[in-house]
Amino acid sequence: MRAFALFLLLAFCLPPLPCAQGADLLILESSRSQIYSDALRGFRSECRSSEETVHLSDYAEVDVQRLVKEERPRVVVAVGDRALAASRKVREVPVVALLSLSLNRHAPDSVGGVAMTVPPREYLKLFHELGVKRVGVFYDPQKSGQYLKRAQQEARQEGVSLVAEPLRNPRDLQGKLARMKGEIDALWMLPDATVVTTVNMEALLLFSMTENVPAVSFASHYLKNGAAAALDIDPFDIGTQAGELACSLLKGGSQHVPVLDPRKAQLKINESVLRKLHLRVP
Amino acid sequence: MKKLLFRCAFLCSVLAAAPSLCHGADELSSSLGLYDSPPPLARFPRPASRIAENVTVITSEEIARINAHTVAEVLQTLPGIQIDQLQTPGSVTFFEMLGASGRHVLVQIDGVAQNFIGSENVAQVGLIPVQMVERIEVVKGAASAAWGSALGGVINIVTKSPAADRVAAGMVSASSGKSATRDLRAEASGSGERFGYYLTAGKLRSDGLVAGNDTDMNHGFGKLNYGFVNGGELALSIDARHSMVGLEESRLLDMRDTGAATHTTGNLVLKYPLAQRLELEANAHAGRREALSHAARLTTGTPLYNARGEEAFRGADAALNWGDASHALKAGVSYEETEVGLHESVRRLPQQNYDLGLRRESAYLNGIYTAGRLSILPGARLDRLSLMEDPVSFTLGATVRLTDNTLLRGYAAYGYSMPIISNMGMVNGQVQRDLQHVRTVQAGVESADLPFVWVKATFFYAEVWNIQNFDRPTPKLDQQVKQGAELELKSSPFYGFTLTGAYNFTDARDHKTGEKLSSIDAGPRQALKVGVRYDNERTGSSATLLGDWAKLHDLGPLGKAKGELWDFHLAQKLAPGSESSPELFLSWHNIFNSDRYIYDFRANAPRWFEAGARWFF
Repeated sequence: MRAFALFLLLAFCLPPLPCAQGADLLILESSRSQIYSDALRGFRSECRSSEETVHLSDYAEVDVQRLVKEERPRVVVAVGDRALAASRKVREVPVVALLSLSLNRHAPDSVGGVAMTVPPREYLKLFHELGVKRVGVFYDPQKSGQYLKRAQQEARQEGVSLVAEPLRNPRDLQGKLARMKGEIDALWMLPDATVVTTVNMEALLLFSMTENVPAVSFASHYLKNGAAAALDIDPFDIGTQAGELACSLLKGGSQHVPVLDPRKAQLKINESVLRKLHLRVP
Repeated sequence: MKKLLFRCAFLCSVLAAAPSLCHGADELSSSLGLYDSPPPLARFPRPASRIAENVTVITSEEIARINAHTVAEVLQTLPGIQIDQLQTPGSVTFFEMLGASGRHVLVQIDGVAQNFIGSENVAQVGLIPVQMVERIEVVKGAASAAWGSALGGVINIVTKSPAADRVAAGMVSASSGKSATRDLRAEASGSGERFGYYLTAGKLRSDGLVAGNDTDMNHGFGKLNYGFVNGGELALSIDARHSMVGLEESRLLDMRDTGAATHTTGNLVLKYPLAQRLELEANAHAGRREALSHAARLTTGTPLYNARGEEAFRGADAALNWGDASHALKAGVSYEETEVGLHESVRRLPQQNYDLGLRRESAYLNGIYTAGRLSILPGARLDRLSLMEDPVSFTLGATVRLTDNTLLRGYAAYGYSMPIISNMGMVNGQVQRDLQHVRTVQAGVESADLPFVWVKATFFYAEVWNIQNFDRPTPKLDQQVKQGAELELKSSPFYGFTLTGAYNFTDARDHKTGEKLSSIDAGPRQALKVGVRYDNERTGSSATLLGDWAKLHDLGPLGKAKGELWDFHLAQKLAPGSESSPELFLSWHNIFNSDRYIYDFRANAPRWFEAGARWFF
């Protein structure tokens, strides 16, 4: 008993041996994909701090609350939707999310990061350059309501009129799309999970071709299918932005994590579609 | 055993007939180059934990899967824990953990002890509803250096917090089953600018799945949160529960026993960051517990026993928590005051009529020190008790990370548990209140490096002494040795199917005579728990099949020592794509109508079926 107590006392008074450093950052990577690697390269270029990385796709289940309790990071970095969903119950430390479609401005104070949707003004600038005035857009009020509100306010300043159709069920798109015939000069595709289904994207691009209105998308992936232009996000730069945010949180102060717009968008165009529609090439 | 394997194989084949669908990346994610869906076959089930103790965690999602009503039903599914018998939901029940009696296990809700000091120090896990539970963390083995009176382990219940990303969210649930067993629950939750709220209320009642085992529980729980700008949080919660329970009935013994219990607790919790990696954790709580027990002749109604136990408690705890995963210290103090009273009006024995006050002041220090792959976790706690000796508790743990996902763990501890502080065991007007002590060593390995299977093995050895034994004519303090092993396995999901398994062996003996202890005192010598889980996100279906086999020792003539219990739970979302989908669920309990109990007048529930629906909005 005495020996045990002595051993315990020694354990508490350990000499300053070279001790391991706990990680400041707990990085949760949804999967091992190129886009996440690019974003994390950007992140690490801006925020060099001790880190522990967990690839969620390696595991069937990850109890992030338990991980946070054991790893005791100062900031959790959630890369991708699955990582953000797994972090939604974390309260002890701020969560910086990137490349997550479900990150919205309804997020709690301690959850923020860099959103995936290019800010409305970039799209409106593009519509202005294309010379279109009436732009049709479908959105789910729950998922993109706030973004649309911003877009409508900025559209008025740019002289663009938005014909916005709320969509609560993906199956309702076809009927609502038919009502847009002759009412719009361009189609704006938002990265909204209710709107973007395989069937709906085919319908939107078919409408664009048959009605001779350009479709402007959020991903260059659709250019080969007939979209006229797309504003791609830059994963590396999103990572850089998230890195800056994480670094400011590590420096202390407020634990409020804002939701930021991506500051960089890459315009990609389908010249043949633009020429066919007699539109200016931006 | 053969029969068990055959039944297991039969039920697995029934489940396997279900359609299995692979997940495909949705249009939006794939167009952006994001592939976040869980892989059809994850290489590893889960990451390995990195702590020295043998800890099992169960989350609210897993609790919902098995359509549990109370914490007792959840604990029954966990390795190393044995509920004496599951009766009607909402019943009084007793349990053992790795050979330790339930009265040596500290049960806490958000840091407030639930053990009823005046009622043999037992926490009634059967009277804690699960709706408010976010997660349950079970520490198996002595944990006094961190937690105080916890000779056998700790069951730490963490309640739900307000929904952080919505102003208003809610849930309603209703289920109905055999013997008018009904469970109605509702929940509301949300957050504003800085404030958040979580409220739940419910009613669980039954005419009794077993004779004389009718239950009626009303419960409510509320929590208000305030979030500070710097990430700190202040939470005020109120927990109120009232149960009326038929405890037991025996025609042979011509008796019926009924009871009632009321729990009311107010708890204020503060977590406040003071500097980088330095946080203040504090809580203040107060409340009352009351238990009534009334026994009478079945034939004549003549009262045999009529007791009322009351407990008023208040306390506070403050701790400074500094450090990270590699080196950390937690230092704290706590104070607890409890007034205990028991009054029995039929026999009026002095042992069962008393009022006393207990005061406890504590100081504790726990730490982590890491050098390379080795972490050392020392801990010490001093308690000053008003009615007993002042215990000192120690622990020294160590973990070695063999790889990133394989961990060797071990710890040695010296700890204590409160004795039964009533006047039971009074000899010549003198009451013995010796603390019950434990000396224990645990060692184990946990690995998530093996492809498709997670494994955890733990070996334990514990010497306990001053264990009160009132079964003999002259009360006696026993000395016991308990040793054994626990093996847990979990597979990766394969086409939606996940397998789990846990085997426990516990050898519990009297230290002096070497005689094996009865399972009444030390749980089963052998226990096997298996599970098959099926999940299909696309169709919104989930199914869980749980099997539980145990070998109980020396139960006496009234017990049923062997029996395997199988439960099947099914849930189906009506709109799988929607977060607020209504969900239908059903549970088929004790499929093969097996018997396994300690006393026949307190038998386990027979085969029974229930179905219900819940809707999140």
